[in-house]
Formats: sequence, C-alpha cells, structure tokens
Amino acid sequence: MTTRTQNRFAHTYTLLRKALPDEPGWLSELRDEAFENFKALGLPTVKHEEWRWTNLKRIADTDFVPAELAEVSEAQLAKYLIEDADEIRLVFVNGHFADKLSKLPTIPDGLVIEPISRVLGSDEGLQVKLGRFAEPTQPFTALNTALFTDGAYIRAGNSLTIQTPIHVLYVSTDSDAPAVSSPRTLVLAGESSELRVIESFVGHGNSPRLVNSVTEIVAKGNAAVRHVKLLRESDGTSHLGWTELNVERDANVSSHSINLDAGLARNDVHAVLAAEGANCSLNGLVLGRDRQHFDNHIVVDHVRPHGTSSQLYRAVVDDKSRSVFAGKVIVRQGAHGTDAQQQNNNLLLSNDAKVDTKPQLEIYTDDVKCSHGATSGQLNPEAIFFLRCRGLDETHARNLLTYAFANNVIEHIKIDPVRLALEKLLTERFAGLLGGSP
Amino acid sequence: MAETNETVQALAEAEYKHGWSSNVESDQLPPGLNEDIVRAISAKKNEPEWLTEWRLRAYRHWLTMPEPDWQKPKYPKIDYQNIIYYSAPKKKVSLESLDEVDPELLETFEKLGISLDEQKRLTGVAVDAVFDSVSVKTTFREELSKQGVIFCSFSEAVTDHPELVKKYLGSVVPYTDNYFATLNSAVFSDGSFCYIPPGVRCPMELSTYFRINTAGTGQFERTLLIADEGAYVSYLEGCTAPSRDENQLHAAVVELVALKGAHIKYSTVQNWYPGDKNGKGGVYNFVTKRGTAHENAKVSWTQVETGSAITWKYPSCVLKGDNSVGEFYSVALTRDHQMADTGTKMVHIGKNTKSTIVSKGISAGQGDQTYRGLVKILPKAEGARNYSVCDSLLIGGKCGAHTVPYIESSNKSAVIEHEASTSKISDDQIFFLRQRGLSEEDAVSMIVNGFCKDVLSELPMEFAVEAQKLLGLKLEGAVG
Repeated sequence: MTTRTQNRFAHTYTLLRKALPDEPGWLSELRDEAFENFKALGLPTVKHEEWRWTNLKRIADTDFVPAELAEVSEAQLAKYLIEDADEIRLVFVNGHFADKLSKLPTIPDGLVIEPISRVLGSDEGLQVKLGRFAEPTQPFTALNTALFTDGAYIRAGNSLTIQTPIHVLYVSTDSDAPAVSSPRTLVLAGESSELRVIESFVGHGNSPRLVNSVTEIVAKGNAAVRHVKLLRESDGTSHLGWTELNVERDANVSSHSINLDAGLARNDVHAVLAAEGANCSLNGLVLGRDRQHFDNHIVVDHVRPHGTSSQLYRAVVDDKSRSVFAGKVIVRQGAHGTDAQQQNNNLLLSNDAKVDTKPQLEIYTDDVKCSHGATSGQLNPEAIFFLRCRGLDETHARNLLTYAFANNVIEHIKIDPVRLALEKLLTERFAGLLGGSP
Repeated sequence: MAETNETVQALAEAEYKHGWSSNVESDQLPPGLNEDIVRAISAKKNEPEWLTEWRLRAYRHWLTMPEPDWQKPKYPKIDYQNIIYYSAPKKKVSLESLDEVDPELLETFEKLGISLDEQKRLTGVAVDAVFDSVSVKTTFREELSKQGVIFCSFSEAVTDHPELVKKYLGSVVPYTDNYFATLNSAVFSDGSFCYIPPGVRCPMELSTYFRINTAGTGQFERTLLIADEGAYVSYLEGCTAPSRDENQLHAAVVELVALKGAHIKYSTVQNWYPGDKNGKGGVYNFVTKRGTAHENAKVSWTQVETGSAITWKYPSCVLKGDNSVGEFYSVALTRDHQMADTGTKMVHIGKNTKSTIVSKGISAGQGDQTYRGLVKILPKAEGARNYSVCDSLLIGGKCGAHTVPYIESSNKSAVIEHEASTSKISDDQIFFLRQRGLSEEDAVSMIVNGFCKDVLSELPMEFAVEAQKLLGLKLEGAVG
C-alpha cells in the first residue's frame, strides 16, 4: 500500500518538475532531497501514534495530478474577503499566483510582499530560508517542499510596524482529475517589527482534491506577529496544513486556527520558543457538521527559560462529524521559569459525533508552572434553564450558549476586522446549525 | 526527633530496606522458554489438561507478538531465554499450621515486617504470601471458609475449584491481551485466588505479599478475584525483592470480576527493588491489571508505587453494566534513575457509568514518570461521567514528568473533565515550615504527604500509615 502511494506521488512529482523547467539549481536540489525524504517516510497510517485518530485512506487511495491555474472571478472571491481587511491581498488559485485578483498597493520601504515564485531568483536569499524551519522529517512538509508551486513571501524589516492586515487567499477549484496543490507561506518579521497576516484556504466546487500547505513564521527579537488561518475548504477537500512558528527573544506570536469547513482537515502547529522570554498564544476553533473530520495537533516546545505559552482549543461537533485534538507542551531541561497553559473544550451536539483528545505535558525541569485541562460534554442544562426562565425558548437558549462557547476563542483574535467578521459568521452559522434564529 | 532522623538517615543510606536475600533452598526449572518449559510448569502444578492447553495457546500466540516499544521508559532488550520461569522453595508440603513452614521462610517474612503469625493474631488480616513463584502460606483460611469465602493460592484453586477458575480465568484479561499478559498466561506459576459468595461482606482485609528471592528468576503470578452478586471485598497487595545487579522481570496479571452490585477495593503498595543510585539493577514491573464491573458494581484501584526500576502498568476498569463505578487512585514516586509509565483506562460501556481518576506523581533526582490514561465513552454509555485529575510534583532540575491523557467520547450526554498540573514545591511553602522549626527534609516530606493525601486516605488504615512512612523514606536524600 505504502509503496503504491509513493509511486503515485512519484508520478505527480515528475509531472510537476516537467512543468517547472527554469528553476534555480538549489531549488531543484531542495525538491529532490525533500522528495527522497518523503519516500523514506511514507504516508502515515492509523498505526502511527500521531495519526491514530485520522485515517488518510482517501489520500492513499487516490491518484493526484498537480493542480493547474484556473479562472476565478472577482465575484466568486467576494464572499471570502474580509471587510476592512482588504487593502493588501495576495490570491493564489490552485497554488499558482493570480495577479489579476491580487492587490499590492505601494507598500512602505522595508516591507516585502511578493509571491515566492517572483523572488526565487532575487537577492532575498530564499535558498537559506526556505524549508529551514518546518520539520523536514514530517512526510507532508517534505511533500510540500517537493511539490510547491507558489505562495506568499512576507518580510518586514527591523522596527517596522504594519497595522494593515495582509490577506493571503489560497483558492482551490474543481478539476477533472483529483489534483494536489501545495501552497507555501513564509513570513519573516524582523527585530521589533509588527505584522498581521491572515491566511484563508477556500474551496470552490466539490471535486476531490488535496491541499497540502506549509506556513513558516519567524519572529525575531521583540517582534510581534498576529496570524489567523481560516479554513473554508469544500467537503471534497483533504487539507493538510503545517504551521511552523519560530519565536525568538521576547517576541510575541499569536496564531489562530479557525476550522469552519473541510471534508478532512489536519492542522499541525509546531511552535518553538527558541530564546528567552518568548511568548506564544495558539488558539483554535472547530465547527464540525455532516461527516467532516478535523484534527488539530499542536506542539509547543519551550527550549529556553522564561517562556510563556497558552493554548485554547474548542470544538463544536454536530451530525457525524469528528474532532481530534492533540496538544503537547514540551519543557526542555534548563527552560526554567516556563509558564504554559493548555485548555481543550469540546461540545457534542449529536450522538453520532465523536471527540478524541489528548492534551500532553512533557516536562524535564522543575521550576515551571504548567497545567492543562480538557472537557467534553453537552450544554449545561442549568444554563439552559436559566435562560429559559428569562423567556428564551429552548432553541434560542441553546444557540446563545453554543455561540458563547465558540466565541470564547474568537474573542482572542487581535486582528479586529477578522474578529468582527467571524462573530458575524458564527451568528449566522448557529442559526442554521440548530434550526432557529438567534 | 533527632533520633528518628538519624534512624531515617541510616535507612536512607541503606537505600533499600528489603535488599537482603534468603537462603531458602529452591526447586527450579532451568532458564529458558519453550513449549517443554510451559508443559513442565504445568506438570509441576499437576494441572488439568485444559489449563495446559490454555498455557500452550498463550505461548504460541506470544511467539507471534512483537514486543511493544511505545512506552516512555526504554530498557535494554530482555533475553527471555535467560529467565528462570519457575522457582519454588523446597520442602513444600501442604501446610496446616505455621509450625510447618520452613523457619528460614518465616524469618524472611519476619524481616519484611509481615510476620505471618503475628499478622494472624493481631491484625486480623488474612495473608497469602507468595515467595518467588509459589504461594507458601495462606492464613485465616478456616475462618473465611465459614462465610463461604474462598481464599487460597491459585494452584489450589485449580485443584479444588476448577469450575470457577475455568469460568473466569482469562475472562477479563484474555491470553491474547498484550505481550506481557500473554507471556504470563503461558508461564504463570502461582498467585492468589479469591471468591466471595453472593451477598457476603468479606469479614477481613485479604492480603497478598509477593517476594522475588532467587536470582535470575522472573515472577509471573496471577491473581483472580471474583466478587459475586452484592459481595464486598478489600484486597491488599505488597511486593519486595532483594537487591541484585541484574534486572528482574515481574509480569503479573490481576483479574477482577465484580458481578451485579459487588464492590471490589484493590490496594497495592509496590516496593520492588528499584536498582542502585546509578540505575543498576532493579525490577521491571510490567503488570496487567483489569477489572470488569457489572451492573451497579464498583471496582476501585488504589496504588502506591515507590519501587521498581521501571513501573509500567495501567490498572483498568471496564464499566460494562449500567450504573457501574470505576475508581483509580495512584501515587507514584520515582527517584534516582527510576522510571514509571502508569495510569489507568476507564472504558464506559453501560449507561450512567461513573469513573474517577486521581493520580499524583512525584519525581526526584533523575526520576522520570509519565501518567498515561484513557477515558473511553462508547456510543451507548448514556449519562456517563468522568472526572480526572493528575498532578505532578518535581524535585530537582533533572527529573521529568509527563502527562498523556487520551479522551475518546462518542456520546453527547457524557461529561468528561480532565485537569492536570505540574509544579515544584514552592520556596514559600518550605520557608513557612522551616520557620516553624522543621528541617528541610521534614518540610518536604510533609508537603509531599499533603500532596498525596487524596490518594493515601483511600488506603486501608494499616497500609496508609505504611505508605506514608515509605514515601518519607524514599524522599530522604532526594532533596536539596
């Protein structure tokens, strides 16, 4: 089985390399090496501890061709845009840069926002940065490095504060044969700089496809990066996304992963607090319905002393949907003064829904403050009773409580337009989800 | 105070109190494992044909299994051909009174603080003592039998109550269960058997003491405990072994069956030899313990794990019947190079099933421990409820504490809560106690005992005192 799957991707790889003949030599080497890595690692199965609750059969059983650029109209894009966060926009369709849909106004000196394909040959020094941060030992990051076509490259120079959110949209569309696209984002925040980045993964049409993305974010000393990943893929999509955060001295990174739709989605967030006083906040929300499957795997690695990290992941699952959460906090020897919190709450709305969770602490030093909590259950009957006493009917009461449960994650988002847009979206979603209007 | 401290110091320096070995002559099979050895063990115990076959099935299945390696504590490969699978004190005839027990053996148990005789007269605890692989003495049998309670060694049960053994053996932990349980099923030599008839509240605590004596032996005992409808029993288990440089394997299986409305309380104080300061030697304690709770029944595990080089076990509850209850209370202490990977599994099958998990881990020196637990709610477990709390206390900058809870919920009405925390003993707490005249070690011991209180209070009285002392002893020299 495994070898067959590798052969499949081998064909995909050959096709892709043919389509990209003029790449710089170092990139071809990087791709070859990554693909060798992928072949050696193979596709994980449920026998792998980190994949025990997510079955990749639908990927293993499909032949994928490299996705090609397709026509998407401004109107089709409109519903995925965010009000008040549309000044800078990079749009990629099926992993290829869509010039016409993107908006790149004159940007201040010291800030670079470009599709990766345009800077590969420039003096940006990408060959030393690409693929340096994300784990090369993970099969899908390796596969992404081998297969990626394009993605966003964002770099802020030292002491540069960019208040305007940068919206990166990765759109996938219907295709005749199942296609794989491999978007790649690289965000470099220089010392004492500030950046806001929104990544939207959106799907058009329901044909089966694979989106295998890698996002690398590096925050240099004292930098602040606010990152939100919005998942609005179609039900035919398998989304595998790896987000690598590298947080340096006294830097501050927040990353939200908002899972609204996808047939199958697996998000890996790997945060390395690489220097003293680094701080990160990782939050996530899953709203599952029908037969959707969401899997969030988080690793926070406290390497140096006095780091702080917090995690809040919440899932609301309805119908036959399933949510998986596995969060791990590692505190290395010598990382004293670490403060790490982790919280996972799950709300089951249907008896066919399923929740699997594994919050983990792995601690190798004594001077730490670490805690985690996990809950799973339904809405508190007393809270419903309280609201009903005040004149709300059952449906309204449930809607309101479910909304409040989910909103708890949203309210941590520090990019205002995104927060407002999501609050609006939640209101609409729960009205539909529970068959009433709030 | 000063004097006690000196005594404590002396004991701490002596390191392992039960490290001596006895010169009891033993009757043993050659080391190694093959079908002949399995048959030989079975023959030595005069076992019926079906049991020999059962062992052989287990052995053949074991050959097909890979040794698991997902656990956190890694250990050098065990050479299963180099273990003595059967060792028994010689001169074993059926014993009616204590006078007939080998005096050397009696002395052994005297040293352990379990004078069988004294135990019998003073504490009213019925004891089944298992020395190396066989049960040497069961006290209080007559009084128990008046109530219909059967408490005897496993091999006696096979002879005297084959119908019960045949019905329940492997019903909770099948011989195919896992690598070590399967190995145990093939080569188990003895253990305790207990049956409480319907509606009987066992009049006294039942207790088993395990001791590994002979070098190069593995201990593979099997405990089977059945509480019939509405019965109650409290069962204690204690373990020690001599200090030896090589690692000894202890792979036991404990099966509990709590029928409708029954209540089983199973307590363990595990103090196998932990190896020396540099991590040489010590017992590998790889045990499978599981209880099935039928309707309205309750299975409660309490464990104090202070010994063994590696402790790797997950006493579990299968909550099969409606309204059944499972409990797990655990204190695990690792110091020097000890490692522990322990926790529990609560499988909720019936409606309104409830489970509680309280786990306290203390890691000192270069000790490393992992709480690994599973709470699984099946789709039909309407109204299931779980509450788990796992706290870890770290003493020193080189130890490790890990928490890996698995929660799988397939029922929306189930409510599951899990919380865990990891911290060190705060300097403020120590300062407060030091101000009141306690030495630093006493202060730590007091804080640790407070930390473990929720679990220790679940132990039967005599054990709670012993466990508290044991914790204090184990912490000596680990602080500072």
